[in-house]
Amino acid sequence: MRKKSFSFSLFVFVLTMIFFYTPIIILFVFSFNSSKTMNWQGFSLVWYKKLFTDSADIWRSFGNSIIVALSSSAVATFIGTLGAIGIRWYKFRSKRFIEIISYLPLVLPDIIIGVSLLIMFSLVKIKLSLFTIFLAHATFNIPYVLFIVLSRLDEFDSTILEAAKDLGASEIQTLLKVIIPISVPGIIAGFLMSMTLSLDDFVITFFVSGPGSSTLPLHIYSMIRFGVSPVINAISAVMIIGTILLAVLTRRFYKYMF
Amino acid sequence: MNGSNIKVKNVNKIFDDFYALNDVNIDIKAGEFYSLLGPSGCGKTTILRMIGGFDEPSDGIIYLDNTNLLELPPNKRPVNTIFQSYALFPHLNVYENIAFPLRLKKYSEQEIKEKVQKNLSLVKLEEHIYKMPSQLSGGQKQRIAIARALVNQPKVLLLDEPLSALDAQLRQHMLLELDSIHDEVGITFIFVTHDQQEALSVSDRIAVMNEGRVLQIGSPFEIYETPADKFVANFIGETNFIKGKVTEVMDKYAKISSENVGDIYVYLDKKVEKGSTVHVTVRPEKIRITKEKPQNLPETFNLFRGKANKLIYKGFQTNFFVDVNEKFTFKVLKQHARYILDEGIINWYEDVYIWWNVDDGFIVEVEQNEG
Repeated sequence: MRKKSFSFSLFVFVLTMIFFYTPIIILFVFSFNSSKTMNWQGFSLVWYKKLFTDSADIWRSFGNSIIVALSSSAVATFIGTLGAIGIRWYKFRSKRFIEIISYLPLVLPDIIIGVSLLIMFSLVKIKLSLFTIFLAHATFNIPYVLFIVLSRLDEFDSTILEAAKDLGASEIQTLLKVIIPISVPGIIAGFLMSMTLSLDDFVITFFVSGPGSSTLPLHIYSMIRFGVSPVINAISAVMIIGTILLAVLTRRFYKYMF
Repeated sequence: MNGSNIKVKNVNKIFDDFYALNDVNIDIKAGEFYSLLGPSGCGKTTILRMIGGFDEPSDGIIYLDNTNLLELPPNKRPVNTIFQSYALFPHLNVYENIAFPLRLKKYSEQEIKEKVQKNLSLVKLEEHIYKMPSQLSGGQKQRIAIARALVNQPKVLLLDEPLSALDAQLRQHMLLELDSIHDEVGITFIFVTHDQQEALSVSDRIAVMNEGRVLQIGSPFEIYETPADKFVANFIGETNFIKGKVTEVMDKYAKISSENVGDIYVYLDKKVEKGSTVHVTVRPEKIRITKEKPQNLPETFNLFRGKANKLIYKGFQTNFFVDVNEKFTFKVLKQHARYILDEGIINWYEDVYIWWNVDDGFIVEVEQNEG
């Protein structure tokens, strides 16, 4: 027999979830509204039709976002992973200092990173373009990857490195056959995190983007200045579904890890 | 013999002013089951790590047969280690864990399969071949670690407290298994432990260590029966220490007068002079305890009358704490064969006789004479 009882924490949890998801559900629902206003006029796919046939500039900036996200995440993952391995499993001087200094960008306000990057780019005379956005995103993503891979490495006892050497592995074989494979879940998580942050970023991108190199968040912002178009609702709904699929896939993939 | 001998020569390990190892000399014969025994922090693991290549001595040399081991990196040494935490690769299954060193050496798939299977059957885990380490119990992980370390056919196997993470019953079982694996593969085993029972039950020889020094090297029998000093006597099993002054030296025995106990006779295993202060050890199981005054005493014995002030009945044996002269408590251990029928039951606070053969007492320490 189980006694039914009122759980306060469950109640708070449910309220919070409602608070989180209501706006998203509203956005999703109104992407199917036939009217342009916020009054429900009936179901229609007109905004989706417009999105897929008559919104070349949205898709161009969406494409830019994807290019920047993939390339900057790949570079950040590579550098961040090697950095994490170096910090955790090799001994060198001023290790502690480097560890702290590499966390720092996590807490720096975006606006400072954005302004400083803009100043630097204009100092060394790099023209603002998609390339500068890529550089900026790779830069702010590195500490996230570093952080995630480090916490993955912390789950393991460093004696497995000694065991690898004991069993005859050289330094490079230890790296390739032990360290990298056990870091894989962390590396993937770091990559996905970078993707999300990059697709998401507005503030830093705003400073370092040049003419014709708009990303999706920048484009949506510029569209809103001329009034909210339900096309934005439509593309948002598409992105939500894409994100959910990605999250489900990631979980599936994780099941096959150890 | 497939094993190699190991010579640790004049090895020191110094951190600032602290000697982690102090002039350690150990000779390990090929094929021996050799234990390094001591409390934590005594330096035993440091020696093992030096042989494995994970630590370097401040000075001194370590030889394997006739090669200087210190010149080789750990991955080139013909030794393998069983780590305390097993150190199995979490991303590889049992088969691939054992195959790891073979793949590095580029063996053919067929050879790898044969060797893995042979070593898995050595540790009796053939049915778990495709499991991941996280699916195995502690004892099973331990065996996989053993199989993986042996698949390389090392000359020496280093075991770093391999049983400390297992529960008591399993530990006993694995100990026997280690012993039989040692017999089967015939290589040199160097076994680091802080547990004297483990060391005593499997070793050919034991080096007892404390604070970076080797105090005694000998067979389990020698270490237990004739401890070199007070630390060894105390660390290996329980014992009674009696402090006293030598009042008479005979050709085989000495008479010692103790403030607390009275006069005792002791076997002369060390040279002592009249008047020096000595510490004598008598193991609790060497002391007999009876209610009546004992008959058929040996030629030379120490007999005392005391009071059984505390006793712990353990079924197969009883531990007695017997007060003599109300000043000294003897620990006495009595094994029971047929307790109720043959032996009078001794109760709390009863007066008893205790006695031991003079040959069972040893002088473990002679204090420097003042003045």
